[in-house]
Amino acid sequence: MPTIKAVSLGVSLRGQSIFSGASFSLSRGEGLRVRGPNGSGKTLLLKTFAGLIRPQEGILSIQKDLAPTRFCPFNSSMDDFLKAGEFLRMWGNKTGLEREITQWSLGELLGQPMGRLSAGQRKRVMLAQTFSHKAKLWLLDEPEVALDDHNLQILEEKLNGMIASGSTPVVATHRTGFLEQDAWTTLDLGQAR
Amino acid sequence: MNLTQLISRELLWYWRSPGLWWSLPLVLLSIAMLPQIMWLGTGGDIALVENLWNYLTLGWSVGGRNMIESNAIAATVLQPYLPTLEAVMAMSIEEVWVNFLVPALQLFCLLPLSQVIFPLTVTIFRRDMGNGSFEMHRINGGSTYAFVAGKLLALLAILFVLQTLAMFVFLLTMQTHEARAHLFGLGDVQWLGVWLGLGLSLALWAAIMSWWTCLINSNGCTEIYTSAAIAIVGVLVCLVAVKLWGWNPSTLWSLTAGSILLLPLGLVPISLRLSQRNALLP
Repeated sequence: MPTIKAVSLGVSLRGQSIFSGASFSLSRGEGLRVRGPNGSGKTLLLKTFAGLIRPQEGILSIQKDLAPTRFCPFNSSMDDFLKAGEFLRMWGNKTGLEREITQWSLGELLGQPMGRLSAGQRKRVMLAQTFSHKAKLWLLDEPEVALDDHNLQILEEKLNGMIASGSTPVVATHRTGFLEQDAWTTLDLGQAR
Repeated sequence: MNLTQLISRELLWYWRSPGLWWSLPLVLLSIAMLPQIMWLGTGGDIALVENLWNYLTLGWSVGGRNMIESNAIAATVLQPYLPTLEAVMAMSIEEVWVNFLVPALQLFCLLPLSQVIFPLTVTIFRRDMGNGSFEMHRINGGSTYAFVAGKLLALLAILFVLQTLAMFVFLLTMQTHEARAHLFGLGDVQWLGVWLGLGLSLALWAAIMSWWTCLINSNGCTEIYTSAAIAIVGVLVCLVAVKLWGWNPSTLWSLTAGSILLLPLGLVPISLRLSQRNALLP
């Protein structure tokens, strides 16, 4: 039985169709990689998954036990006025923070304002915050952007580890050669359009 | 995030927002200028000005009234001027119009206070829309009500702080000339200097801000109009001060002393902005 199933899914924004005809089926032990050109609706699809946007066309069914949900937005300028440590304390989960801070090598960055971090450093802080929580459904908006090869590898391992542990990651990405293992199903919104 | 975290986040934003530090002296100066502007508007009727001013700054707020009553010094100075609820209720519509609505409109339209508070309010609500914060909060199980409540409560806290600061400004600037002299031992010449200093500091501050805004803003100098308006207000403060206290040989000395005393008001936000600018440099 699929954990997430979409049939001819379509989303409009202010009366304008962003994408339509998106169909896919995900089983437990699979992740979804969402691809598509800029403006094709990758972020909107994530918000639809999260229940913030109601699809105008088609059917989207998500199994009830696929909760809680965690979301990592793309925007790396979020909360620039906070220090990295404050950002993690406010948005993160205490129990998982220490592990993530070590894993993403953030120790020296904790006292620095988010606005002064590089794009890659900010992304690492945001990923650490996201992964400090426990979740069954992970919605990640271009999490690989600005990461160097080393951290990209960490991210890929973590995402594959999620699938192995029974949770479902949904990742919007542009990057080729990323998450191309068998456990990943690809949805191309450029074609769905 | 829970409500406490949301409020903390908002307060941290205020604390670290250069915009607020730019605004703060403006807000205080606006409040301090109000009685002088009203003084001119009422043809020099000190009693009327005091009633209007008391209503606008303190009398409208039960919290403000309680705050005054709990402060022995403030109570001694202000209590006689505060309108009671019974007195307000007994007023005719015309009296309410003259005493409350007209000055409220003056406050709203004439003073830069409105130019600060309203953009600030719009900013705090627009800030998180589109940068992912709100979505992250909602998708991760947070409620919209808590998000909005966090912003409103933080804004109230800031306004409470501003009101408290305004009370100090009020105590320093309001009362009749005689009461002022009695309270602080300052003569008209010194008060002229204080006001001229305030006005010139404001004008200078706005001029530097205009230049600075153009320098750092690659999108153009759109904020220069606001800064120019602030500079004009600063000059007007000087003119009002001269109008109120006249010009005499000691004025130059007073002007210098006042400027030296009050220039830091403008320098604080400038230095904060400069430090932020330096932090952005490689």
